[in-house]
Amino acid sequence: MDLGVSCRSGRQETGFTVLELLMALSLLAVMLLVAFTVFSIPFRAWMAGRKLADEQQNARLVLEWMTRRLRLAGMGAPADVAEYFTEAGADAVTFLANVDGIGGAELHRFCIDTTTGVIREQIGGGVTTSCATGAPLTSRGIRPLKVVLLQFAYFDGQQKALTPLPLPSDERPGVAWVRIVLGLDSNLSDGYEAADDLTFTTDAIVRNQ
Amino acid sequence: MTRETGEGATTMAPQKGWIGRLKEDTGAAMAATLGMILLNLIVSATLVALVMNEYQTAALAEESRQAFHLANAAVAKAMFELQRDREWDDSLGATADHTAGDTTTWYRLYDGARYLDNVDFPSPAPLGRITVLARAAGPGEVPGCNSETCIWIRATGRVKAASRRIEVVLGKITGADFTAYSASDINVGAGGGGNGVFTLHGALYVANCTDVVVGGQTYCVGLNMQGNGAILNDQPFIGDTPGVQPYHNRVYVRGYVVGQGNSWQIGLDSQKMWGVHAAGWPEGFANQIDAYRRDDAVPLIPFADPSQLIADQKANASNELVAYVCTRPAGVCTPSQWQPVELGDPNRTLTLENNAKVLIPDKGSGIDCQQATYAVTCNTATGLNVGGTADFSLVFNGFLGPAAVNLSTQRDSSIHMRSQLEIRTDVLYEGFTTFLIENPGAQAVEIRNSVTPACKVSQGAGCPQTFGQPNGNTYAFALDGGGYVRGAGLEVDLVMLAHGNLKNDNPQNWYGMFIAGGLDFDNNPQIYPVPGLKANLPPGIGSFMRSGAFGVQVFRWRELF
Repeated sequence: MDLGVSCRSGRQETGFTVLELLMALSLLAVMLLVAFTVFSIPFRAWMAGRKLADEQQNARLVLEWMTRRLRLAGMGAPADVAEYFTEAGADAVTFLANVDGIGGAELHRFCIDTTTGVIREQIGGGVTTSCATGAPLTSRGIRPLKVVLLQFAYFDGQQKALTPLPLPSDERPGVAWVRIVLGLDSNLSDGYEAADDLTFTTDAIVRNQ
Repeated sequence: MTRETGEGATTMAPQKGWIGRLKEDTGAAMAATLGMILLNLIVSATLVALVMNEYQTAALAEESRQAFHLANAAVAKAMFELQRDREWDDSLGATADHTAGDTTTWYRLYDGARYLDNVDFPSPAPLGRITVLARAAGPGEVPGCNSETCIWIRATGRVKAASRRIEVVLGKITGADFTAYSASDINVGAGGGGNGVFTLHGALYVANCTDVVVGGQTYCVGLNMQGNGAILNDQPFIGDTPGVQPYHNRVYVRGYVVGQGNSWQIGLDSQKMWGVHAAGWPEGFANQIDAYRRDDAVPLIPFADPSQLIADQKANASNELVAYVCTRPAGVCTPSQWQPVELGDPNRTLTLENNAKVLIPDKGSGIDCQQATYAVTCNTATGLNVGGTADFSLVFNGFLGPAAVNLSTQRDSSIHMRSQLEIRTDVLYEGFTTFLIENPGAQAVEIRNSVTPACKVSQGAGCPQTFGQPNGNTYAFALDGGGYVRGAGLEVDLVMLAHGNLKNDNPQNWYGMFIAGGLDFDNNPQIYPVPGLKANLPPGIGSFMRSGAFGVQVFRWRELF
């Protein structure tokens, strides 16, 4: 009986030696380390890019929402009403527009609720002087949208800035352009900081002059 | 290999292939490696899915934005096509798919080559596709609109999966939408030698400009407010309710607005113009412009040139090209005393003055006041003898007292002449008539006294108003040349269209509508609109403007969500 041969033969055919196992694990660990190191940088970059895209997407949606409604200011307003904008402040705007296509024009107000970091839209009888109520403008929700800045600037039809803010009543009828600046807080829960607070700007041209 | 049988013997299995060995291997490294591969696959697939989702969302957003611009372009395309179409409520041109009078059905707009229904746009390198549907405006849907003058447009832009829609009301805007229209720049105070003061209580359109150096810089100036000119929004505009302010008078200038001195004014702080639309105004001048809206959006409204109106309408005029004048007491003349005035002669002047009776026979009536046959007809003619087609188109009696109607014309007709017309006495007229005066002179019409209906517009509620009202008494002068209104304190209640200049030289009151190649005001004429006049213009004028001399403007704009 040749046990040596039998034992060696058995080890070769049914498993690995501890040494082989250790070597394999070590090799795997090294490979994982290398892979993690290699992939972590682009992964972080990718996450940052995605976050930036999220920010832009969130901002775009909110700006789009406001812009599409501001363009309609004056739509359906009574003929003897010259002031389509009843409030033209630095961080809030209220205007008359028939957005729903039903009946006449209703009041719409956009403002920032700094407590919760959302922009709210108040409509019709829901328009108040504060921003604690009203429907928040939300995004598609990959990350919660937190707005830290909402600014409006107003221009007449020749793109001349109207001042002071809030615009007095005799200046408000001249509003033909509204510039909206939106600032988002990028310093939320995750660890992939894309940038500091991001600001986005767009202009809405009032079509019903 | 030696093999032994019996207890203690070791039996070797037959040699296996690598698959067999793999099945039997139990080491952790293989499992860990496979697990890592699987994990990597899952992570990779997730990342790819997220990236794809992000990409598609961003792409859709961009396509949506592009679709909006396409919808906007479709509105512009509709405006262009409708500008080319003379009649909107027919089945021709851009509205070929439309049934006249139908105000409920949406139809496809036609651009001369195809219906604008899901067509590539722009055609050389399409960004997407557009559809333009139209519907005639029903009465009362939009103030001041009807199926002839307004159209709803629903413009759709599509880019791949994205679609946006805009709905607008497009309307014709003509010279009839303004109290005063000038085809050339207005240089208040520069002409006539006067002081340049004038006051317009309504809407103004200036269609042109000339270069003027102001403060060392050259501007193409359409409205140069020298002296103390003023344009005010203190009278109701078309569609306005008197007393319900603000009114909707606007000033449109296809050029710059400048002023000299500090006493001119466009709008007041307490009564702003509804809009002042001009290429611009130099800094420092805007403080004398008070308006709710100020921008550089000025629609192009072609000049409703009365020369074209005369050419179109003169064949339909009701009169013979001859007038008969009697200056004998009470307007009674023998046949030989009736003096003919050849209205076909541009060198003759037909004068309406005191102590003169003027008759213009109807076309085909055969009336000849120099013939004994018609002696009685001519001597007894009064304002009652303009009702048919076999008597007179015009009867003027300068022997009547100052409160009597002294000028009568056939209603719903036009009177054509090539001679000049001069008015040297106060005229109280009755009739609904357009005078087609095909005379190229600068004074094709010279007005030295008031020309009004019996109830002057200036009398307001104290007298039943007929000028510019339904079934009222309204005269229009369409001049191949110019018009000159001279004489202090007079009032004209008229529609005046002049190929050349409309000029004045004294304080006067003008009520009505004044459209000219040029406006040359002096000595503070007061120019007023008359509500209702646009809808009650004398024969031929309204349709002439609506079908040939109009711009297209957006009256309402909304995006459909």
